[in-house]
Amino acid sequence: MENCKSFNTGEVTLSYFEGPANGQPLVLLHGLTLNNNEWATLLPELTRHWHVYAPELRGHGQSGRAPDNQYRIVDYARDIIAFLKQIGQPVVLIGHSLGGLVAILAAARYSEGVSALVLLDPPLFSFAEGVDGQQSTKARFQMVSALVKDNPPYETVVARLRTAMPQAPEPMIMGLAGFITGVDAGTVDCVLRDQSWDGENLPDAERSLRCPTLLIHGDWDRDAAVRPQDVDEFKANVPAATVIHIAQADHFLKMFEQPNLVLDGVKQFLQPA
Amino acid sequence: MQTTEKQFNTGELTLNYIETGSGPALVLLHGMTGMWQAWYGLIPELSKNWHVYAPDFRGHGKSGRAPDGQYRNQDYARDVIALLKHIGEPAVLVGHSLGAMVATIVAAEYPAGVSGVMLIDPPFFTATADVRLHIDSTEWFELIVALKGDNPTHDQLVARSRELMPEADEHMLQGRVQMVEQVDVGTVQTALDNRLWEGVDLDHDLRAIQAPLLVIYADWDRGGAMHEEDVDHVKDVCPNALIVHIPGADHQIPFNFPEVVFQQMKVLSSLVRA
Repeated sequence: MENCKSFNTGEVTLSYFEGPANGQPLVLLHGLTLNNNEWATLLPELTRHWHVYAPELRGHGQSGRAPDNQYRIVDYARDIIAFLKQIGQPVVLIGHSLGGLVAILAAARYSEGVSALVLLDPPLFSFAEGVDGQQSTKARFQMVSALVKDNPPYETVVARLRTAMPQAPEPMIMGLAGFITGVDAGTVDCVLRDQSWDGENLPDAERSLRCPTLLIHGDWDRDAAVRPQDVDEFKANVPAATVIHIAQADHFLKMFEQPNLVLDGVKQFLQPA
Repeated sequence: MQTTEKQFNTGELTLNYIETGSGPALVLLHGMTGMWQAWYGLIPELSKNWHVYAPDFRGHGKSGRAPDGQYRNQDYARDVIALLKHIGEPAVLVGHSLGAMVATIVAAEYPAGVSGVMLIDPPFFTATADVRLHIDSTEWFELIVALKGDNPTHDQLVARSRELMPEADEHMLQGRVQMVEQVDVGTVQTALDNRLWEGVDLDHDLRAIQAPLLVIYADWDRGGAMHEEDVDHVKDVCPNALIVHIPGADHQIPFNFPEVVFQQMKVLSSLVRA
């Protein structure tokens, strides 16, 4: 991504995008095995109204890898809190998927640094159910782990995907390879070993949230990551939270094909009438 | 970036183009008064996954001028079809603005050569409405006619540009002069005369597209080229197309928001059949 800068947390160097100073700071956190490319369709509008920062999580994109192979949510959150302290004023914190879980923990631990929290289809079930809570996701992470275990270059990932998915068209294979090449296998292995939440308690973190919070979720039966009971539990723990359901949306909440759905929700939430 | 310009004779004229990268074929089609360098900032990334071809349209850059002065969409499309036959394998077409209109015709008329289509902010309104509906581009086209309608020398052109673009700093001025010099005034005159779509039925061609079709468009009130009515119309005519609005974007998506193009290439890739 262009406008790439880097920030050393003391443990790892995070690569981040920074847009023009067009308003209050707003920080975007991408999902597991993803990178800043997932924000492309939201950035034109977001960068017009906010001062957007988008750090890439440790082990992802252009950011450094965890020195001790630590990829628990608390490790990501520590990086992000260091990043928020560097910004030096309260931010709107938006996280997708794993980025949403990291955002909850960062906002709970560093409440003075977060003025509003937006969670895009966070896999809240993972705290109680572990990775077995969604078998389709588990299978995908197993594939990614096997593919990138030995840090293969892009061409090798392409070749392996061709073998693993003989029916997939060539451009699709290249698209997938583009996303997962360079991802540290340790990131998905941590999830597959159910160690993501080690030492942490999600309900406690939710109950200690102090800022306005928005949860946007898709349809569980379309492989989105929030179950109906997760919404209920979240509302119980964060009574003031606003919840938006995007009908028929998968885990990406139609961000690539209808970015207005997420953007409108975020804008209405952040600029109440 | 290692790129070598190549030339190819279509039978009517010589097309200048660059070829780089490896993978399936990808043809990038620039906008009016542009040239292949319009894609300069995107080619390093795209060429990692694709065998990229980027021609200068006729009347633009180092390509030949139209022998009969014809610069309608169908004339550009004929050149591109000849190039695709020269490439010899089905290609994904990515066209911006004029390039999007041309890509539409090429995909309709030469389906065997097109495996997928991305149209970036296509000014389809020009098929039915006056090009003057779009004030930004009209002003630019009229300026070009005023600047070089009488074939001025380079020095005359620079002096005239200083006079007509007093707001431009020296860097911008040089860029504009370069752009004006490389383009045949007949290209913009054809647009101003509302003759771009002559001989082509847009709806027929949209319906005839067989390859996966992805249309991305900007905000009309930021100078985007697709009005709400155009969007609805394309949805009606091409029910299978994926139509993506990029909120906050202006017409120059490839230049100002290249990441959008990279991301949407992945979306298009997932639609392209083996």
